[in-house]
Amino acid sequence: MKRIGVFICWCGSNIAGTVDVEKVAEAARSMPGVVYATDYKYTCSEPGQQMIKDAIREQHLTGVVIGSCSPRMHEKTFRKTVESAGLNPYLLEVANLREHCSWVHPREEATTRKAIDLVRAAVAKVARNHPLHQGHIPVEKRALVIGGGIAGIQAALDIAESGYETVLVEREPSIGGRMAQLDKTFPTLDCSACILTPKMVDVSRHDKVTLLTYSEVEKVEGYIGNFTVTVRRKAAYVDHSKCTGCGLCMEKCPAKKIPSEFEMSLGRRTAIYRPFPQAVPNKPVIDREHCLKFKTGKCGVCAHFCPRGAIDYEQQDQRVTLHVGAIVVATGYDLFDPALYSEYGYGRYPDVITGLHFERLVNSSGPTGGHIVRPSDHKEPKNVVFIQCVGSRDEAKGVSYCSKICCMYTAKHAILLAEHVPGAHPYVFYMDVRTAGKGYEEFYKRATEEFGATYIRGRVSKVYPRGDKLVVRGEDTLLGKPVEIEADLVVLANAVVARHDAAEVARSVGFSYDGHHFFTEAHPKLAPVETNTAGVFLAGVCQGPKDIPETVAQASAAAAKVVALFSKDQMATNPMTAQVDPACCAGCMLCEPVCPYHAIRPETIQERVGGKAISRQVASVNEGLCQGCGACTAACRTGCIDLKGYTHQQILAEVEALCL
Amino acid sequence: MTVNAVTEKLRQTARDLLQSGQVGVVIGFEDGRFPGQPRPAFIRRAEDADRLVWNAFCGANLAKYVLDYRVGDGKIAVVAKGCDGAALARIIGDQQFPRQRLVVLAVGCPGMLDAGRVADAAGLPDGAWDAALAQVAAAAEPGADGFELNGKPVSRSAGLRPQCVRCRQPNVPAALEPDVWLSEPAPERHPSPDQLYGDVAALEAMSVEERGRFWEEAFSRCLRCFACRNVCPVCDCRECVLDDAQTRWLGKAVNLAENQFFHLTRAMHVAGRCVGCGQCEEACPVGLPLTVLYRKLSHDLEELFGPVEMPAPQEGKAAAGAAEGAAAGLEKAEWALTRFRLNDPDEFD
Repeated sequence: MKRIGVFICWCGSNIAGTVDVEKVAEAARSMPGVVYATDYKYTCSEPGQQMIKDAIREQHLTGVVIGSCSPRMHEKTFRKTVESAGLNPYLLEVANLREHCSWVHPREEATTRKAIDLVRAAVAKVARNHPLHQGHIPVEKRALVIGGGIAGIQAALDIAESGYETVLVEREPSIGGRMAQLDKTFPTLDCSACILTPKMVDVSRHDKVTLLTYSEVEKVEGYIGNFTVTVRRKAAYVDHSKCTGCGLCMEKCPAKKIPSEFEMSLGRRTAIYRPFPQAVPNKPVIDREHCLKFKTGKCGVCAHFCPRGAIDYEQQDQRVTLHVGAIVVATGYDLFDPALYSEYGYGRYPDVITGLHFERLVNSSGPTGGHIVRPSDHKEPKNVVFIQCVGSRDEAKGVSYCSKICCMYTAKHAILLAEHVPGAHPYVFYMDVRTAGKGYEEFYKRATEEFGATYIRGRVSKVYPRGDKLVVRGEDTLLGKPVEIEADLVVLANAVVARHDAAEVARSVGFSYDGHHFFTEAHPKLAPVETNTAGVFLAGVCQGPKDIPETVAQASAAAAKVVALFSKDQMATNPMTAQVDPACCAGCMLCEPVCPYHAIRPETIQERVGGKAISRQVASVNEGLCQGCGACTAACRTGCIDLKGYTHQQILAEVEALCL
Repeated sequence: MTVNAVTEKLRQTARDLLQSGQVGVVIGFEDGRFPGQPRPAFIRRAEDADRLVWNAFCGANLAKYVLDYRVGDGKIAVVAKGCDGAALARIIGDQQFPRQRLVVLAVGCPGMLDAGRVADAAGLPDGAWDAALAQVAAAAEPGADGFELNGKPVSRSAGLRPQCVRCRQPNVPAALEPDVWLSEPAPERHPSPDQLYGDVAALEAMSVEERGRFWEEAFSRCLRCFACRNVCPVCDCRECVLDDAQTRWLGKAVNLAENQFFHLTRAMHVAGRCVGCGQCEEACPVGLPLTVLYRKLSHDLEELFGPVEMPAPQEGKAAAGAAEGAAAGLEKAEWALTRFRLNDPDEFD
């Protein structure tokens, strides 16, 4: 016999101001199974919770309905309450009388009637609730960090510092990422390399960190606490256990004219190379595509000169299997191709470059040794035009969002230009100058006031050559006048975009991404580093444009989430998962592809049909992966998948209580 | 009595398959009690192979019968027109029967005749059908354009079943990779939009109230005999949700509300899966226009998601290997409404 208790909360005047709570409690007393009903001013308060506990004990309740605020607010609170009174926490239902009723309706008779209906539905449901129990799964206390930029480095360091093993996977030959390419950092103008390289060294030397550079994550299987990851270690053709990083091979390599990716093709590298002098690990790899040994079979100079015999042309890609409990994805970003704006002439005129090219030009370890020169004739530029929002905030040709960092780095470039080239004049074409951040507005002010950057609000319509100059035509929309500037160099602030293969990464790890292929956080405000796949966290620009301080903060936040997960030996699982009835499951596996969490797999069961033992395929749910979304229950034509806590019977009972 | 070439090849193939023990049963048609209504035949012995026939009335969909052989591991052979083939592909895609256990005997189908329509077209008096239809069944080559009956020339199209008029798949889907062709593949068919969806468009043109009345009238006549479901080849669940007494989705009472729930649930369960064989309407004792409902959904699905893309057969494979390839392909086929994609259209504002 069901013995259900109903507690109607006033929520001060939030509910009681609109709904006749006493009448709702009165009506509840005559609902089937209800043996006790009352109302109370603040049910979530200590005395309110005590009242529920007392009622459970005195009335021997088998189910509890609380008519109060949204279950998102206090369901967990009340679950603890009923549990402490000895009742299974899942024998509780919350009827949302606030958000679904009192807040959205006027004070009138019908509002109270609706409240009664909502309570009736909850009573009908709780009568069919079954006790549910949390499961426990062990947690592998090792983290995987994908991407060795500043985000990945910071996350790996923080996790390792907390005492947990961390594997940092980077697909380039060195960690460091985009930050390694930058010269100075806004708004303090400290040198990017000076603050980054110590961290690169720290992470590579940390005894809890395993660094896998020149490696890519191929496959991720499993679920929170228990991921199995396959990493492909690309063949470097250099045995890094023997290599000392002396660099003799690079000196001797005859293929010297390969455009350096790290230098944005402004510099050259050899076929056996490390991306930059401070690379970590400071050991070279052979670029098979350009290596003469691989191309022609002749050469072998590096092997000849290597004092350690570390060169191994026979090396093969290796696959490493890792068991990890959590994954931090920090795969960074690409930059928008500014050639799509043909009016700016990028790609046609060598002196139209991007902000990242400028970073390399101004960097003292860059291809020009820090002298800002025009790529075309290596002359020092005087007039430099910076064009903002190339691709950003342009739904027609680019991306709809603001890339967030360009306003600030352009101000930085203006300052660096003025500092490096006496008499140089920076011009900046902008839409809006966005300087939200500590010390940012002041920094921008310095660029204009102290360093004399001319900011022109308006778009550039055309860039074309005149002699050895570039004419930049645009409009000053504040003055309403056309402007024409004879520039020596044009620098485009091209938009930050997701990595070209971001969607593939998201699919292989198993979480979602937005329309721009930036990775989607579980909640934009309250779960900004979590993904909708438990145990997978985000750090850095792969989640959306952000600057270095924000990236580092987010990386530490992701690390904190990982550490919190690892602080327990076992993890409680949500018991409200999908459940297949194998007897009726037809094994059509329609549920498998609709599951966003890859929680459903076919399983072979033994059965007796007509006196014969047969084995057949049915669906089975991995409770560690299942997030209880219910997509499979809707897809199942046979109705053989039920969501525990929201079974078909419970839902139908609710619907009938509401409608009949 | 002469038999047509397809029948001859069918009998020979069936005999060979049974004699060599390659299959345990051949599912095809044999003459039934009434001419013009051949019935499904289940031939288990080589000497019974001569019972098999193939004529212009072999319209019934045979695919569903393979589900009776789910338990077991022997092979079965099935005679398959386009719609049988499409249904088999569906059943394989739903992983309800492995392609490897099937021997598909494909026949190009020029459209099948309906006894009643033929009789009407020829002006046969009631009660005088049998001899005349027997004559049609025996004489008319399944592919012939027309025939003479009751002293009148009758065109084939006049006697076609309605589902055959709108047929777009006279042959089994290529992805099924049939084992044997009993005839030449039939030429492609391109029904007009009006033939395909004219009746659907007429319903769409009605006001909501009119349409509501139309379906209320129809569903209030439903006896809930479940014939439509039982005959439907894509209703291939082991246990139908509508029979689930535990959750009791569908009440026992035969009334408009439950009838509507039954038909709308069924419509959703065949949405994107219906192969258009029209068995439901043929089986319905009260003549409900069920295919109109299902075709409305098919039409919407085609517009939203495009036509169902069957996997392409792999070329140059021996017949023995074909079954495996086809099975893998069909199971991987991306049927509409069966994939979760973040960029799925979401236009429910």
